Amino acid sequence: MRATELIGAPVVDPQGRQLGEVSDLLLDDPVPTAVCYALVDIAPAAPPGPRTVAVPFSLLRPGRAGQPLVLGVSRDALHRLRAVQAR
Amino acid sequence: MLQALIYCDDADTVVRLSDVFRESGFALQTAGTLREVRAALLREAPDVALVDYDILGPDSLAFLEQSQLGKIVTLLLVTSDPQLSSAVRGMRLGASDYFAKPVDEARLARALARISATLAQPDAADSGITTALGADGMHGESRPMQRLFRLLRKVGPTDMTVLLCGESGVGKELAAQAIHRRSARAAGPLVPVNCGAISPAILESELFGHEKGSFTGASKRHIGFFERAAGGTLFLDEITEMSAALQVKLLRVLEAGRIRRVGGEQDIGTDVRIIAATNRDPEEAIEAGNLREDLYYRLAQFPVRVPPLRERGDDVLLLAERFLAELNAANDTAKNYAADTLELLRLHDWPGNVRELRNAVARAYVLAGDVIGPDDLPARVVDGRAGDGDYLRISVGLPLAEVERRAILATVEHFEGDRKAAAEALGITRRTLNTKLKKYREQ
Repeated sequence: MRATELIGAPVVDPQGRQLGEVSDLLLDDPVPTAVCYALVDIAPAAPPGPRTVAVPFSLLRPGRAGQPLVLGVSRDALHRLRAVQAR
Repeated sequence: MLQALIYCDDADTVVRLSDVFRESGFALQTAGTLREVRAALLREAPDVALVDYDILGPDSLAFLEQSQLGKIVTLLLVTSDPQLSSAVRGMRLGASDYFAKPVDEARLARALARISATLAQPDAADSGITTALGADGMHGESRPMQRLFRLLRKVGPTDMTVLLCGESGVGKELAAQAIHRRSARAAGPLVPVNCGAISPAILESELFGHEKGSFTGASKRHIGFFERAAGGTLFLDEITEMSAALQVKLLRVLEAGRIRRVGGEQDIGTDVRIIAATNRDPEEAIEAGNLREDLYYRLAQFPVRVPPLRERGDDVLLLAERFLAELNAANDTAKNYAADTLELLRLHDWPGNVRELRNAVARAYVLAGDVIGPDDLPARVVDGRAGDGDYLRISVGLPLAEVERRAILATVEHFEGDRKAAAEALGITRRTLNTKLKKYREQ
């Protein structure tokens, strides 16, 4: 799978409701053999507004080709995460 | 980054705790089921495992006890029932800390900071293993190998059954030797058995022995590998090559700790540690019917992945220099590599792993003068992945038998005549490969 297929991909909850979209990936360091976390821009409509959070990459389930990534996490839990500062 | 594993089936809790791990500098794998735990351990053994005690069923508890996970990684338990019984159970599991639900994130962060600080300090027992594992012949400075060395040091003394997974040529037998030497059985024998190299018809009697007259040709009692390995370690390589029927018998032996010679009437107690190995992905081998799931779980009390050479960074150069130094010492020469030769060695992806590298260095050493140049390397190393040597051109309509013949001969050539590696790559037994090569010679 290419990173470009992931970055920008929509993220939905198991019921198909939009949670946000993947904005970046965090790789293992110093030997980047694995993607550890996906940075997800939470959908702007949800309070407290647009921000980026990190979720374990292993929690994301790819949908069928062209379909959103499914994150089995509630919207509330996602919004309780601390924002990740863009570098 | 340090590695962590969270075993919890509540994704909301996982994602909340994952923030603490990430901010504490940990890469994270997550697992919601025991199957996912096993897969995660095989991908990357963690430094820290946080386990939700409340979701553990009998299978999970048995796995945690048998794998002695708490001795190998720092084990943190989370429970909503911090009763004495849980604590006592936790002690048996080797947990180093407990957290009541909901987990106090600040306290978890402090615990992770302590663990990071501890892991950052070289363990006195680890000295000398960062570049090599003693006299076991495994060398590497890369992080994957340092993690492997540390893991083998911890697994060695536990006496648990270990399943080594890794591609052909990565050094699984060396890893088995390393485990054996660090065990209480080090003074006993290490008996290696390649299950793919022994005819299925005689493998049972080779493993368990047979009594005189038990079958045609059994002219005297034969002591099998299990008995020969008494007090030591039995290394069962290519375990997926074992027939399904024999896998059932092996499982029974592992469960009961007793064997019966073929044709015998009495069970004999065994005192053997089993280390098994496969070059296949265990989950795929189970799906394909090459490995019984119950045997896999019994063998993989602790699964260990031996990384392929392409994931080991500059270990390629370290090993290439080491192999050349050995040849120079043996032949009283002082050959060395040209700079562009080293560059090509770094760029190749080494599908045959350390074995392929060793063969390539040996060949280049013979061909070269004082300086080993790019022309002395095998063509596939020079040409890279797109080299003609790694591809076959097959015309539409070519008879299947001819397609098979060409694929087999090209693979044997690719592995420079190493039939074991070629058979593994082709997914057939060495015996089948030998039969086909004999047939091709006679044609």
